[in-house]
Order: sequence, then structure tokens, then C-alpha cells
Amino acid sequence: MSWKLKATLLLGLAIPAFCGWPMSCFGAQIVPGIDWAAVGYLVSVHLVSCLLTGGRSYNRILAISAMISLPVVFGGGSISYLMYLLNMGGVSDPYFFGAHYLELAITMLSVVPVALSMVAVIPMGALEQRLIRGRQVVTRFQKSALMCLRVFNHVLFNVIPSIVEIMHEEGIFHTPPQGTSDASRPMSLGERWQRFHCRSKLLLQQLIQVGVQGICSAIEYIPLWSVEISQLPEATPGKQTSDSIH
Amino acid sequence: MSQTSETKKLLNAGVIAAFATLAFVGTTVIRVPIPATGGYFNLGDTFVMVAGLLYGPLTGALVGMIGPALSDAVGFPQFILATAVVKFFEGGLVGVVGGSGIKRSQPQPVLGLCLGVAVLVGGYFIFEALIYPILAKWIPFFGVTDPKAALAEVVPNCLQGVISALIALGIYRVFKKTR
Repeated sequence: MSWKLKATLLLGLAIPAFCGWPMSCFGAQIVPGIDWAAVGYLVSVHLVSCLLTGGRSYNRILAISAMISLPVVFGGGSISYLMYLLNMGGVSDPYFFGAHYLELAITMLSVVPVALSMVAVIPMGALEQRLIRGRQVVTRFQKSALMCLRVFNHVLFNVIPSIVEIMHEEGIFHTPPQGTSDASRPMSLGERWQRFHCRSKLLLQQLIQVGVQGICSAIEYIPLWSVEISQLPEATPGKQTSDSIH
Repeated sequence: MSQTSETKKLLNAGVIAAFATLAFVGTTVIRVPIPATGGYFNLGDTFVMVAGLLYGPLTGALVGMIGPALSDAVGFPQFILATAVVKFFEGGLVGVVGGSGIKRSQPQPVLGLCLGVAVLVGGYFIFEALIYPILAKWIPFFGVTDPKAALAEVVPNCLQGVISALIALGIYRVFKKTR
């Protein structure tokens, strides 16, 4: 099956996620906030994703979907419970937002795999190679698209993983030991504030460090690539342009 | 087109793609939901603001329009419209007032960032309190917020904007020193 057909199928599969049709036509509820249509859509998405991308890619897609979705759902659930404990926002019982987060979990576990599958079925490497082989002319639009594609791949698959590794190796975001303190004596307000202030400042500095590293790595090769891509033979009016990528 | 101007255009396209991808990752990975509204708190604004400060209003606006909106497509598609418009103006305004990519007497990064945060908070409030409820009358897909929920989101959006602006200012100062 060609990548274009796969992408079209996935685009069709994404329609219910964006406009709610035809799921809104099937309204039978399982629990408050969750209906059979949503569950059916979730199962369909994962089935189609597995079939179109293959087992190995699907495993990766499932892992990333879980990684993105679960903190959102559990983080939100924790905040809702906190709101209940603090009697904020009119939250009357601990399960006030329960149905909402269940719905959110199902939505994210449906939408995220569709998006990742779309990226997985497009052969980025093959597209890039066809454009830079040099035996065919390219339009200005294709040159810009090639640059964006390269940068996107570089940031997503080289920069982010290396930054995560550096953060792990250098222990960025690990809280340093606070020094000796008398555990039996409760901390005063001034001490608590100072501790909070120091930790906040350290966290800010660490986030700035990560941000600077990310930006430097992301833009590192752009000048080189812009010179390389600008040297590709360009289509001129009256000259046949390259065939579209199949 | 001459080689130099073409190289420069490709360079700009690459920079926009890089910052948009960083904003996409920053928005997608660091997400804390806001229960009352269905929206979420994230740090993707940092890269939108840095793009505006370092490369000017056009880059900031395009990065704001593309990166965070793409992230909304992954999980929160109802907010794509609001995010694209609000962050377009946020990045653009930060670039106009605080950016060093355009000729002006003295860039004002702190003022630019403050205005960016104001656009972020005000823009989302207007969309969620006014525009989305009106759109929802014809397109139920946009029926996700109301004025009460929009008000509840003001404080988290302020917090998001301020934290992102502080990080963006720190990053800007590091790059300014090395130029």
C-alpha cells in the first residue's frame, strides 16, 4: 500500500476526532461521559494504526501516546482532587471531574496515535533523498519544504533525545541536598520561603539551561543546510519541473 | 533569485521550523490540565517569545501560529483556532516591541514580554468567553467553554505566561551576551 493511500486513510480516520461526526450519532452511554461510540473509535484507531504502521512502529506509537496522555489525565485528576480538598471552584465531591478525565483519557489515546501514525507512514527519509539526488530540478517551495522537513526530523529525533540523555546524565532537575537540619524542629515561615525561593531559582536556571541547549542544537546545522539546499538545480519557467514524489 | 538571498530565505525557513518544532514539543510534553475548562498549562510559549526576541516579529508570529497549534491538534483540536490566532499575535508583538531583529533604537525585551503575556491572557479570555460560545451556536464542536470557564482560566494562563516569559528572558540574555 502506498504511503499516500495510508495517509489518506488516516486522515479519514481523524475526521471524527476533529468534528465529532459521526460519533455524535451513536449516543448510548456506558458510564456518564463515556459512550460506545468513543470506545469503538478508540479500538478502531488502534487497530488501523497497527495494521498500517506495523508492529514495531505501533509499539512506539503506543508508548508515546501513553507517555503524553497519562501525565495529563493523572495530573489533572490530582489537581481536581486538590480542589476538592481545598474546597475550591465549587467542587462538591472527589469524583466531580471523574467523567471529564475518563473522556479526556479516551480522547487523547485516540487522537495521539492517529497523529503519530500519520508521521510514521510518511517516508521522510525517502522524500528527502529523492529531492537531493540532484538529477532533477526542484521548485522553491520544494526547497523550503525540504529545509523544514530536515529541521523537523533533526529536532524531533536527534535534539530532543540527546537533551533528555544529557539531562539524565548531568542530573538536571535533581534537587541538591539541603544540608543538615534539625528534623525535630519544624521550619519557620522565613526558612520555608527561603527554601522555596532557592528551589524556584534553581529550577528556573535549569529550564533556561535546557532551553539554550535545545535552541543551539536545533539551529546548529541550518546555515550549512541552507547553502546545500540552495545549490540544488532550480526549476525555471518553461523548463519541466520534477515529478511529484510518489 | 541570487544565491545569497535564496540562502537567506532558506535560513529563515529553517529557523522558523526549528523554533516551531521546539514550541510543539514544549507544548505537547509539558501539559498540566486545567480542570474547570478542559484547557491546559504548558511551557511552549517560551520558544514563541524567544523566537520573537531573537529574530523579530515575523518569525515570532509564524512560530506562534504553527508550533503550539500543531500541538493542540494532538489531543485538544477545539483549541487550534484560538491558539493559532492568540500566539500569532503574541509572538508578533513580542518581536515588534522587544525584538532585536528589526531596526529600532532600543529593543525593550521586558516590555515586549509583558505585552506578550497580556495578549496571551486577554486573547484566550476573549476567545473562550465570547468567540467560542458564538461559534458553538452553529458548530457544536466549539462548545467547550463559557464565560465562567474563561474566567477560571485567567490565573493559570497568567502563571503560564509569566513563567514562560521569565525563562524566555533568561534564554534571550544568554544569547545576547554571546552575540
